[in-house]
Amino acid sequence: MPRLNRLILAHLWTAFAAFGGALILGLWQMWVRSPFAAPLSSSENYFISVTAHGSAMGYVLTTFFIMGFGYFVAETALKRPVPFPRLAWAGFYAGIVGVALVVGTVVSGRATVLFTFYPPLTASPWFYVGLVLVVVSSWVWCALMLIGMGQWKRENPGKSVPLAMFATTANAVLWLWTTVGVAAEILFVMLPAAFGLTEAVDVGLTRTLFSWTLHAIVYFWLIPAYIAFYTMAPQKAGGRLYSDMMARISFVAFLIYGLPVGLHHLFMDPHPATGFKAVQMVLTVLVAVPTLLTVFTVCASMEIAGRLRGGKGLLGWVGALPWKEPLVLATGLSFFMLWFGGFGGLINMSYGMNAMVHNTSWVTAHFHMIFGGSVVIMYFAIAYEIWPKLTGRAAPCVAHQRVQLWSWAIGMMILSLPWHLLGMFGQWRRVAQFDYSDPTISWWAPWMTASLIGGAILVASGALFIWNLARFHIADRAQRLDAAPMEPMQYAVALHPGSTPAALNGFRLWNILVLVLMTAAYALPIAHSFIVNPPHALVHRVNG
Amino acid sequence: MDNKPNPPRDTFSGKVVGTIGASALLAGLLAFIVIPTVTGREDGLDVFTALCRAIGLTVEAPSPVNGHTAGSTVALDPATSALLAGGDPEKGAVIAGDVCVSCHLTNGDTSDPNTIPTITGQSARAIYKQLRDLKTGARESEVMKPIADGLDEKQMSDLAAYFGGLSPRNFDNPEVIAISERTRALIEKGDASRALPACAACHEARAGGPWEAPNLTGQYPSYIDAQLKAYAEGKRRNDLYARMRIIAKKLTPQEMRELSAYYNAPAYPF
Repeated sequence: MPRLNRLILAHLWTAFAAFGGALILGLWQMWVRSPFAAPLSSSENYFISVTAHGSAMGYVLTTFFIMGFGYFVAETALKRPVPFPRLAWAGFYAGIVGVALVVGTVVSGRATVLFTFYPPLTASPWFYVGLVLVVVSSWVWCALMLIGMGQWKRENPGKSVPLAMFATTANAVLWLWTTVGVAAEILFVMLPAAFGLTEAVDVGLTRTLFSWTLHAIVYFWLIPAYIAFYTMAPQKAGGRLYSDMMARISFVAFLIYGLPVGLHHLFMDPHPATGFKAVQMVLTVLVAVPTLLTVFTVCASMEIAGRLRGGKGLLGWVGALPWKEPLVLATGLSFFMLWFGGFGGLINMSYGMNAMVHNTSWVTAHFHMIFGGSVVIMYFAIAYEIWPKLTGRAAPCVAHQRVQLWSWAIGMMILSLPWHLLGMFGQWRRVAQFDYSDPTISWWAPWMTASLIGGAILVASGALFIWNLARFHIADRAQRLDAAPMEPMQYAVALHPGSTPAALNGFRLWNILVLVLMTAAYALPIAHSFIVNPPHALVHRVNG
Repeated sequence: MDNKPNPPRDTFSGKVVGTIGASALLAGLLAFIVIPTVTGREDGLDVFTALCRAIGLTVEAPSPVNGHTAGSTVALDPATSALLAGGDPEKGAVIAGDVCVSCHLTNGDTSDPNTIPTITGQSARAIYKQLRDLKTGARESEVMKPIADGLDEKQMSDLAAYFGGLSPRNFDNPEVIAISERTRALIEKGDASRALPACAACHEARAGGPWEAPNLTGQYPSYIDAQLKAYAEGKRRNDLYARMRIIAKKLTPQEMRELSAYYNAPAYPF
C-alpha cells in the first residue's frame, strides 16, 4: 500500500466527485436540448450548467485524477517516497479552495463564460482566481514529479527511469509548458478586466494565448490513458511491452508536437496570419504519429500476451486475451472509440473540412468521443486497478466493473454518434434550446432523443462506477487484505530490455526543442497584437 | 526496468533533432513560401506582398485583381464609446443645417428616395460608422466623401447624436407587403442550405447583431435594393468581415426586390 494513499485517495475522490456532479448536469443539458420538456429549463440555467459541466470535467476531474495517479506512479514505479509530502498536501488544499471558488461563482450565475472563457465575456474575478489556484496546485505536483525523478536518477546512476514514471514526468513537463498560455491570459488580460482595471480586451490576443493551452491540455488529459496502455494493460494481459523505446518516443512526441499546434483551434478566426495557421496544421498532422505508434506497440504487446496464452493463427490471439480483466477490456473499448475519435480529429485538423464543421455539434461530439470515451474509460480502469492497492481490499465484484465499462462505452457511442451526424448537417453548438416545430430541424428530434438515451446510460454507468469504488471502502472486514501483504504494483516489462538512449531518460533535449518550436509557432502571432495593435473589444460582464 | 541508458555519445539525439528539424522546415516551407506564393498569384499579389501577408505583416493589404480596398477601421472600443457618448445633438443640428439638410431634410428623410437614403430611425453608432467609413474611403461616394472629409471626429459624433435621436419616418405602404414564404423564412430564420443567417438577427430593434447594423425598417426599397446589388457586386465593401457581401452574393434579384419592399412595411407580419 503506498505511503501516501490518503493523499492519492483525496485527489482521486475529488476528481470523481466532480465527475459525478458534472455527469448529472450533462444529462440535464441533453434533456433541455431534446424534444422533451425539462425541469428548470432556461437559457440562463443552461449556460450555468454548461460552464459547470465543462469546468468540472475539463479541469477538476482531469487535473485531480492526473495528480493523484501521478503520486501513485511516483511511489510504486520508483519504489521510493514522494518528496515533500506536506507540500503535496498544501497543493491539494490550494486546489480545493480553487474548486470551491469556481463552483461558487458558476452556480451563482456570475461566471457563465463556459470553461474556455470566450473573452470579451468576463466572469467574476473569483472564478479566474479559483482556476489560478487549481493551476498552482498542479504546478506543485509538477515540481514534485520532477524532483522525485531527479532524486531517483541520482540514487540510481546509469539506470533508466521506469517507463511509467518517465511518462508521468513527461506529462508534468508538458503541463508546465501548456499552462503558460492560459496563465498569461488570466493574469495579464482577464483578471485586470474582471477587477475593473481595464475596459477592453484584445480578443485576438486572448484567443491566441488560450490556443497555446487548448490543444496540449488534451494530451495532458490523455497521457494517463497512454501510461495504462503501455505499462499496465500488457502486464494485466500476461504479456510484455513490445518496445520500451517506442513508448518513450511516443511520450516525447506528444510533448513536442502537442504544443505548437493550438492555432488549429482558430482556423476560422480572422486574427492569426494564414502562414501560422498552415504551419500549425502541418505540425498537427504529426501528432497522429505518436497515436499510430501507440496503436502499433500496444497491439503488438497484446499479441504477445495472446500468443503466450495459447492464441493461434492470424487473429486467434485476440480471443485468447483475458477480456474479463477490466483493464484489458477497457483498453479494447478505448481503442474502438479511438478509431471514431481519431477519424474526427483528422477532419478537424484539415483547414477546409474544419470550415464545414466549425461551431457545429460535430466538435462537441468529437471531444466527447475522444476524451469522454477513449480517455475517461481508461481513468475508470486505472481506478479499478489501483484501488485495491490504495485500500488494501480486493475488488468486491469484478463483474460489476465490466458492466460499468461496457455501459460507458455503449452510452458514449449512443450519445455522440448522433451528435456527429447532426453536426455534419449544421446543428450549431452552444445553443440551449431548439424549436422542433420548425420543419427545417424537426428531423433532428429522434437523433437528439437517442443522444438523451445515451446520456442516461452514461449517468447510470457513472453511478455504478462510484458505487464500485465506494464498495472498496465499505467492504466487509473479511475482504481486507491487511493480513496478507498486498502484491506490489507491477508494471509491464519490455520484451527486449536493451539500452535506452540518454535523451530518452530525461527532458533537457525535449525542452530545448519545445522552446524552439513554440518560439517559431507563437512568437510572431502573439507579437502581432502589439505590432498591429488591433481594436480591443469592450468587456462584457456576466458577473451577475 | 533493467534498461540502461547509452553512454553520452549516442547518435540518437542527432537523429531526433534532424527529423524534427526537417519536419518543421517542411511545414515552414509549405506554410510561408509555397502556399502564399501560389494563392497570392491567383489574387494578383506580388511574391513579397504574399509572403508578408502569410506572416501577418501586411494586414488589410488590398488585392488588385479583386479590386479590394482597405476595410472599415471603425471599432467599438472605449475611445469610440466615449466619443459617441459625448455627442451633442444641438451642435449636430447646427452642422446638419449647414451641410446635410439639402439632401437629408431637417427630419432626416430624403429629397430623392431613389438615390439618397432616409437616415431617420438609425442609431448614432450606425450614423457615425458610415460617416467615418466615407471619410476614410472604406465606403465610396463621390457626393459624401468631400462632405465627410470636412468633418472632424467630434462633429461626426454630434451629427450622429442628432440624427440618431430623430423619430423613424412614416411608412409609404400602409399594408403588410405580400412576400413569398421563402423570403419570409429568409428574414426570420435564414436559409441553412445556403448558409444564410436570418436578416432579423441583425436588422431588427433589440436584435443581437453587430452594434453598427442599420435599422432597415422604413428604408426606401430602391435604396436597399441598390445597396444589396452593390454588396453582391463588391462595389460596396465597408461591411466588417465581408458579412453583407457574402450574404448578398447568394441572394437572387427577386429576393432582393422582395426584401427591399418588405422593409418599407409598417410591421413584421409575424
